[in-house]
Formats: sequence, C-alpha cells, structure tokens
Amino acid sequence: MNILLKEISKKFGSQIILKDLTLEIKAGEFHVLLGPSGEGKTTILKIIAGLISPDKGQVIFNNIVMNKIPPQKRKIGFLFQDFALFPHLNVYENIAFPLKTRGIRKTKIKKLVDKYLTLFKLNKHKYKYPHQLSGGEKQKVALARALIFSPKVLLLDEPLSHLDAWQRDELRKELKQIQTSTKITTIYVTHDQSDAIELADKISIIHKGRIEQTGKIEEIFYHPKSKFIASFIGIKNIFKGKVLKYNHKNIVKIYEKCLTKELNLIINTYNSFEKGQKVYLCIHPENVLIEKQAKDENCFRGHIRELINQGPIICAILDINGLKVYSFITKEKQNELKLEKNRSIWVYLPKEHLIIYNHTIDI
Amino acid sequence: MFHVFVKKNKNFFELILYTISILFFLFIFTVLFSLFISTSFIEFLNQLNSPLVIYSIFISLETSLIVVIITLIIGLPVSYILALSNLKFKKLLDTLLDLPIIIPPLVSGLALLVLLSANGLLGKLLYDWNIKIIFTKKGIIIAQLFVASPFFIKMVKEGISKIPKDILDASSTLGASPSYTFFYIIIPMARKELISGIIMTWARALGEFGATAMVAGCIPQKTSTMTITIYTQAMSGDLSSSIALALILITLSSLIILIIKSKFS
Repeated sequence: MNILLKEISKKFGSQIILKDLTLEIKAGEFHVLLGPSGEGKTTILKIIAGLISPDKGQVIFNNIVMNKIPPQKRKIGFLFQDFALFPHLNVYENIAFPLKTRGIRKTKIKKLVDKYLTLFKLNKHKYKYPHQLSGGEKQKVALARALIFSPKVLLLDEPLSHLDAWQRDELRKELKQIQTSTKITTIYVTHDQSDAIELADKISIIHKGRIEQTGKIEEIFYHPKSKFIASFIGIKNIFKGKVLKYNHKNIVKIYEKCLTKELNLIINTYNSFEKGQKVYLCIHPENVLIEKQAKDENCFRGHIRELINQGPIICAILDINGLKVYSFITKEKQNELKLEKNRSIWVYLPKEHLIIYNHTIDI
Repeated sequence: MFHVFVKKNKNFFELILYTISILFFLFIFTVLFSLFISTSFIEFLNQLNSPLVIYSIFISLETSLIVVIITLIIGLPVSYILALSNLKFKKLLDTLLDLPIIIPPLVSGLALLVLLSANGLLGKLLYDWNIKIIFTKKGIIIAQLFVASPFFIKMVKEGISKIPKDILDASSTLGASPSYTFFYIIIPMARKELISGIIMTWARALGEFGATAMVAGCIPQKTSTMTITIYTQAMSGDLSSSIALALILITLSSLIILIIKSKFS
C-alpha cells in the first residue's frame, strides 16, 4: 500500500512537533524514519495509524484520504516500543485479540493463532502471561499479534530498544525476513543507525519536525545533505571553513581555533561555491587515508595522537597542525605502516570524499 | 540539631514512637471491643429476632445493594470520561466529585432535603408527577447514592488512568472499537479498583446515617436503616438492639476491609 503524508503539521500545546511534513512511502518498501529522540518520529507513526489527528495536512493510503477513518478501520499493524501486550490475557489470547475484534469464528482463530505460535516459536509459551515472558518473547508476541490479521501496513516504533544486543540481532533478522517474504509496507522508527543500515530500503532523516533527507542508505551515509545529518550519522570529521578561489580551483581554508598553522583543502570544482562562502567540510573516517608518501593534493604532514582498538578496525586519532582528524584503519594497514602513537605520517583527504555544506555561523 | 539528637538517642526515640503507636491502637481496639463485651451471645441472638432489627437489616441491605447497582451503571461511564477524555473542565468535575466525600453527610442531607422537598426545585416537579422522595425508601437510596457513589467513581477513575495509553492505542489498531476496548481491556485491567470501589461504595452506603436521616427521616420500620435504628434506639434508652446492629456493622466492615486488603492490595 502506498502511503503519502501531505503537508502534515502537528502541535502539542505551544510546541510544534511536525511542520508541513511531506513523505511518500511506496508499496512494499521498508522505510526507516531515523532521528534523535523527541523529533516527532512516533507522532508520525501515530498520525498514520489514526491515533493522533494532524492539525493540518492529509494522510493518504492508495490515493484515499484517511484523515477521518478511525484506527480500528485502517488495517494497520502497530508494534509499540514497550510491546503494549494486554497483561490480563495470555500469549494465545493476545495473539487472537485482533481476530476476535473482527468476529472471526473460534475454529479459524485457533488454526491461525497456532500457525503464528509455530512461526514465531512461541508454542511453549502459549499459556504464559506477559509478565512471565522475556523481552524478546514479548516482542515476538507483539509482532505476531500485529501481523496475524494481515494488515496492509506495519508500523514499528523503536521495537528493539528494550532488548539485549543478541536479541536485537536475532529480531532484526526476523523482521527483515518477514518483511521480505510478506512484502508488507513497513515504517520503522529508530534513533539507531545500525537498525537503519540493516533493515531499510529507504531512510528518512527527521529533524525539528521535518524530513531533512530521504534516500537510500548510501545516499544518506555518503551524501548527507546537511551538517546535522552528517553529525547524526556519525561523521566525526566536521570542520568549519571558508571558500577561496585560487587558480580556477576551489579551496577551502579551514577555520578552527585549534589550528596552529594554516590548512587549505582543495575541493571538487563542480561544487559551485562563491568566494568567501562559509562552509562545513566533512569527511567519513574511513575515507581519511594514512600514507607513507605525500600525494599531490590534500596530503598533510601530521602525527598519530592515539590508536583505539575497536574490534575489527582501529580508530586512529590524527593531528594535522593541531586539528583532530579521525581515521579508521585495518590491523593489516597498522602493521604494514608500523603505525604507533606519536609517529609522523602523511594524512590524505581525497577531494572526491569531501562533503561540503553552506553555513551562516560566524567564523 | 534534632537529627543529631535522634541519632544519639535512637533507642529512646523509638521507644516513644512505639509507646504512642501502642496507645493509639489500644484506644481503637478498646472502643470496638467494649461493644462486644457489653452484651451476651444469647442477648445478641434475641435481638436478631426483633422485628425492628430484622427490618433495619433488610432495608439497609436492600437500599445499599440498589445503590451499588445504580453506582455501577452511572459510575462506569463517569469514571471513563474523567480518566480518558480531554474535557477542559475535568479538574473542576473532579473537585465537584470530592465534595460529597468531604462535606459532612448532614449537610449533604440538608441540600437533598431542600432540593427534593415539596417546595424544592426538583421536589415540586416530582410531586406533580406524584413521586415522593422525602421520608421514603427512595429518599434513603438517593441519600446513600449521593454520599457513596463518589468513592466508586474516584477508585475506578484511578484504575483506568493507570492503564498505559499504548495499551489502549494497541487495542484500537488491532481492530477494537471504543466499546470493545472498554469491556475487554479497560474493565478487566481496572478490575481491582472496580471491585474495591464496589465494596467501598456498599460499605459506605450501609453505614450512611446523616444524609439518610435528613432525607428519609427516622420512621421505624419504614425508613429505619441499621444506623438510624442504632441512633433512635440508643436515644430512647434501648441499647440492646443498638449494640446488636452495631456488632453486625462492625463485623461486616471488618470482613470488607480484610477482603480488600488480602485480595486487592
């Protein structure tokens, strides 16, 4: 089912939660709404489900305006952050609930519930009450309950946030598997990038009640459209600078207080920036390269401040003229270049990996 | 300073606390126990054969049970609205609900008397339709309802308010209409408060005196509930029947409190 949110606005008291938000989710898509807490992600889900009415704008399912349709008639499966299992009903009764509300015959209910109990490996917990289940089991019950009536859309509100790391991995895989096999249009709200990377067909970044960027994972992570997105998705190297034109080249002069010596970086000429334009310059740590010898462009002498072991990779904190630059390297590379603390190195910042945004903050 | 004193003299301080507590409980126990030792078991059984006592027991049970039923019918919707609606003047309604609990029952009774008497705002209208409330069983029910039903509503409202919003939202997204959610989610989840509310309302109605006396009077074997009979008989010097009825009320109250504490706390 296609979902279109058209110019949705919502206020709670005087606080603006959503402002003219427009978002389209295609049928069968696994769409992740990614953003920090308190940015209106859950409100978006509740508006789609009909649990909250927007102050302005339209909720459209397959070209039909749904604003006046109550939640119980929208055919939406909703997985709540804290599971929202009915504490007075056992596992079987919880899963059967949406079928009972639809007046389905007892024999059919039993058949369907048994099928879902098997599918989610919940048979041995059939007669247990929610307080007798672990977090992962509760989540499975909630998921089975949300899917058993074959909803047209599945909405998931940070469903893995209360689980242990191993349970998260397992349930992430199950979720992806279920979505792939059922092709149900799914909207997943999270503040966790790893959920987004593993699950999403498309990601929308929410910031201050608006969609800041929508795109595939690579677009968001390698071409973030704003400084906010860059810092939210974990790009640690973000520097303030000013564009200088020099011999038909665009050069960005870095303006950071910590610099002991001038630092200029060449950026791609297709970046149409005016001379004097204030910018943010970002680069992913994995794109910052440590070299034995100097390259012709954007290669600077520096030293290693620290090497932090992060499992399969090493985070090298480098120093270029007092500027702190993060680089991810492999153990092989560390051994090959004999990298150690305080060692002098060449740091290469390839211009094709430099991401640049306008900004208006005074330098 | 006080803190240091308490620390240094902890044992002495605790001794004072324990002594005051023991004296207090002794006071309550003595008051109640004095009734039990003031009569013999045979005298108690004899009194239970008295037509006045029997009538009082029956009319009290009858009216208080009717009050419970009416409270259930009225109280459930009111509790739901107070707990879940977005009414702007909800706080005002909540305060209004506190009044019958806080103001003295005699004052409640007086207000009802003024409203329902032949010249009263509503009484006039009812008299035209030949409905008499004052000095009748209906009067007892209305007086008890006014005083006792807020206990139920406040308890059930608390019970409903405690249900997480996500549970109610989940019910709607799973296809339940508001009425289905009310009967299959809200009532079962607020059942502790619902049962406690019923018991409290019943106990309050059963023990009601002030408002009932004002509205229904103290007419023997017509409007004489257990509490009214206790009062009228004691005032006329016949303590035996008063004590018998008082013992029944104390036993019932104790049982009610025990049930509430053991099952629902």
